[in-house]
Amino acid sequence: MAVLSCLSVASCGAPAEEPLAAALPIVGGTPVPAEQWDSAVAITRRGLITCSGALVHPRLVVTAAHCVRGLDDPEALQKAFVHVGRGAEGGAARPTVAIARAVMHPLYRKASPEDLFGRYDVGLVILAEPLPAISTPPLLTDVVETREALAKAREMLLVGYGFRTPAEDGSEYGLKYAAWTHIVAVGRGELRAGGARADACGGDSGGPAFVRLESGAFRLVGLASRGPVPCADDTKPGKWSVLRETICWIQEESGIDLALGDLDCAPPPRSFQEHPEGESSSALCDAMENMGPGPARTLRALAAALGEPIAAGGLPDCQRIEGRLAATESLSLDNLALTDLSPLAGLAGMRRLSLRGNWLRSLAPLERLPDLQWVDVTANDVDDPEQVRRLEARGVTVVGGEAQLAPWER
Amino acid sequence: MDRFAIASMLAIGLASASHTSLAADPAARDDAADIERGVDSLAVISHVDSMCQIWVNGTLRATIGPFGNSGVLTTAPSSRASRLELMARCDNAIYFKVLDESRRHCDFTIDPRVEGNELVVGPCDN
Repeated sequence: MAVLSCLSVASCGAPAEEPLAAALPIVGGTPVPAEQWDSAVAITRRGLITCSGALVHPRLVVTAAHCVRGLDDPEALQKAFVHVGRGAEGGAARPTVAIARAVMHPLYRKASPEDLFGRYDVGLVILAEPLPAISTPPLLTDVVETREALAKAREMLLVGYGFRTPAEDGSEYGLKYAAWTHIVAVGRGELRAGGARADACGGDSGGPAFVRLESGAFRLVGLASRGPVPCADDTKPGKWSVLRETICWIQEESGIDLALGDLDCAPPPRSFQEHPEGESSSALCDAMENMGPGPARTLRALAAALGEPIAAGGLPDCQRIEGRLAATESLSLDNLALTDLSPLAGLAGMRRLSLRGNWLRSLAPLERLPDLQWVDVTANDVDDPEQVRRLEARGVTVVGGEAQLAPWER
Repeated sequence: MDRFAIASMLAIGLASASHTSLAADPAARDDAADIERGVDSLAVISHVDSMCQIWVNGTLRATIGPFGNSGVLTTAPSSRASRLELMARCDNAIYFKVLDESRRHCDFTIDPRVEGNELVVGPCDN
């Protein structure tokens, strides 16, 4: 952690009762006291702290992909450990637990130009033995919480074992430090934060970044990834991987249930091209019994927009909704944190649809609205510009389609 | 020392030339200049009968005795292009090596029998 900057607890934005507030600091920084943020751990290789990480389950640490590079070699794996505790000045920290397996995200690419939505610099570490006594912070998965937490200018707490000076003085390295900073910009796969007052630095990679919600609860939102040299530069913020984007992969690859709640890890809906020729029936009532949280949220949003009640089971009467929609030509579903439009696929009669400010990655279901003439998809997360072009090729006016191509909020 | 400086400048020039094709977009340039914030490591093993200072990217990081071993050191401070410039300044000679490729760990050996006073590299972990 390069520089800790808050001159007083109040300026850090932490309430007095918050345990960490006592650790926050004056310029030059103060270590995180023992027993605080125990879930922030270090990765050691050959006895030296090389990265930071976050314990998210008694058997699972998430870190940066580049921090586990080479650990597919059994010999290298034998020399790698996880350290739990305050670390050691100079970085020679004693190992706490061995590593059984380490995996890099399959889409991680080192040193390539940045992709549109970040570089998937996320890796996982399966521990040889569980660490059950440590409480793990909840992951940011809920879509509503995500909208609150991942916003420009939001305060973010960084924890790591890295260098504490931009010059990377070897004598100021290896102890667990924390600092508050601000989010500068948010993309789907990465966010930018940090500056001259506080930033991550060498050795902080994989270290957790937390956001405190209005409710006071902390959520793990990201992992330190990369940044300028020297670190702590106001003109060049650091980059953190947004954990929400890869958490489904982490759960699947580790085989550990992370209780992801509202997050829909189901595969994306089939595209228009994958449906049999001539199929035109509505998908609204299809597979109601097995509907995932994403489609279910869309169904509830449709019900609310049409003034239909929600049953005790949390879903509306889909037959009624379908009937109402058949007589609806225009609908607004703005800012509802929608992630999956598959219930809309196949609906006839819908001509205008506003979907501003949602969390949509795929517009494929809109290709199955035979009468659609106009749609507004401003401020979503559509990752394939071809989907917009296909809609336009069918004569649909797409508003905000180009905005999807900008990876960062400016 | 002069040879080390010349080699460094030459390598910097080559590295700069290889980056001239980067996109004109300022954000892309910033991103390309980023380095990952993990720390790599190195160790220096001396086969010379004198004291040696170990300099990493221009910073004195360790002093080792005759036939000594530096132990595991971080490769900090980082350099912009993820380069590692390592120099061992011993009583009677200066040994050097520049690595342009990032490695998780490398051993380096000070061997007075090597022509050109280059540090011997390896083994390395990728």
